[in-house]
Amino acid sequence: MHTVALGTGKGGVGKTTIAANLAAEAAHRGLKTLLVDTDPQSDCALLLGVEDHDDGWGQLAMLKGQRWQPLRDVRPGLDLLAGGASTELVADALARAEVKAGPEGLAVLGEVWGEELADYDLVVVDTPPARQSRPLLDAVLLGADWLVIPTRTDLKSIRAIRVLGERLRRLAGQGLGVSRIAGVVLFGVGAQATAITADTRQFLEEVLGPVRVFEATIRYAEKADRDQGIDRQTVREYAGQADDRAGESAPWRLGAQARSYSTAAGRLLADYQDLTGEVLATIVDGEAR
Amino acid sequence: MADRSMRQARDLLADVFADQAGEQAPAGDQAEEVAEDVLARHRPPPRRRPSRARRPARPARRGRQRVNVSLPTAIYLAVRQQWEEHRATLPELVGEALETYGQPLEEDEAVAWRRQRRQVPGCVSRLLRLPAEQLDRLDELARTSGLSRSGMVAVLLGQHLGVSVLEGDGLR
Repeated sequence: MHTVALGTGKGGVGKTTIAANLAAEAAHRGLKTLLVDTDPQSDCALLLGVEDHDDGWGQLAMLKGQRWQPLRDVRPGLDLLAGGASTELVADALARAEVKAGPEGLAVLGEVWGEELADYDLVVVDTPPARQSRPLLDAVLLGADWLVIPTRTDLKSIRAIRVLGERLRRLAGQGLGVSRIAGVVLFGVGAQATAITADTRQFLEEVLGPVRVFEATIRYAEKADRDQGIDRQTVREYAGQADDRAGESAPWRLGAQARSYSTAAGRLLADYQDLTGEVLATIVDGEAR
Repeated sequence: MADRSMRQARDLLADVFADQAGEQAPAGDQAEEVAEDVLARHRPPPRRRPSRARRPARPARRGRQRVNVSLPTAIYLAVRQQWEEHRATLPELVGEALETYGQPLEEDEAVAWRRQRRQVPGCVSRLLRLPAEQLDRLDELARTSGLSRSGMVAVLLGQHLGVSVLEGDGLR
């Protein structure tokens, strides 16, 4: 079982979108995958169109040593452990564990994951913004094997990564085993913005030191992003539908139910395929060493 | 070694949850019902039990089992459950709530709400079906209250369904 967390400590940088699509792509490649949403807003369930979920009770039950179950096969090969109101109780329990046992107390989350999620090939964890739940984010940083850091190219996002880097160093400095950084992925970048992208890569390396910035970037595609949100589709599903429509003749566009698809859908899917390939290769290489 | 650290983790968590259960004030009756309902719907199927003949006799349980959840969580679950029933008619419901309760929140109410960070799940796409005029009004209310559009919908529905933002005593 390999655990990959998506985290930066900052909101709005694509954590949930990337987590859901990375998990869906891994499942599509045949890996038995679990998506864990530790955000009280339960946006992973929203994004995948799962309306009847347990609001995070399963995660609380898992920590309590009670029986729990994920939502099975929300997509072929992909299970979901939804977030929701109860993840605040999870965060509260972790904060109490930290008070009782010091920073090592936060490592209980990783211990429990290791035991309870062993049947999965890959576990993808979406994290809440740090200001919302610092103990929960720290517990994920201690519990996950790998960390993928999504960011936009603006300075506030990169500053948040610097804060995250300091947080990781602080935890590691206390003798705790923290996630290894698999890499940074640039999210929402313009396909033509090659100079900005190159500049940001260089800046990230200056801020974080020798950290990998994934070759794959997730392009800015507002229409695709909005439409797949409304239709509760993964990028793969949206791109598949767009592709099917592309083969049809023009009149469907004029009907009462007319709808159009983002012309970037196929390229957006390719971005996620490339990213998934790079993340999985990093894990395999890293654990072979 | 791994077994030992796992045992330590389990012991620590047992300790933590014992403290947590001891400190939480019991929520109101209706909130408990909702919490129990949520638990029941998502609880895994029970393990097979020995036949009645082999089972030792046990005194009948009196009253309902109490479930400890914090009050904000209970309110949220109550709104959410009623919300499930009204999901299909969201635009109409929000329209009604806007007409009846369409005032910006007081500063202390807005702060209390933001602290809870509640949003109504799954409402964004349905809100797009609201008439443009109502959507503008909703956005204006959200802006003056300092909330997101989804947060404002949660507040309005809370008011419409009888759940107070501040006191949390509105489960009537």
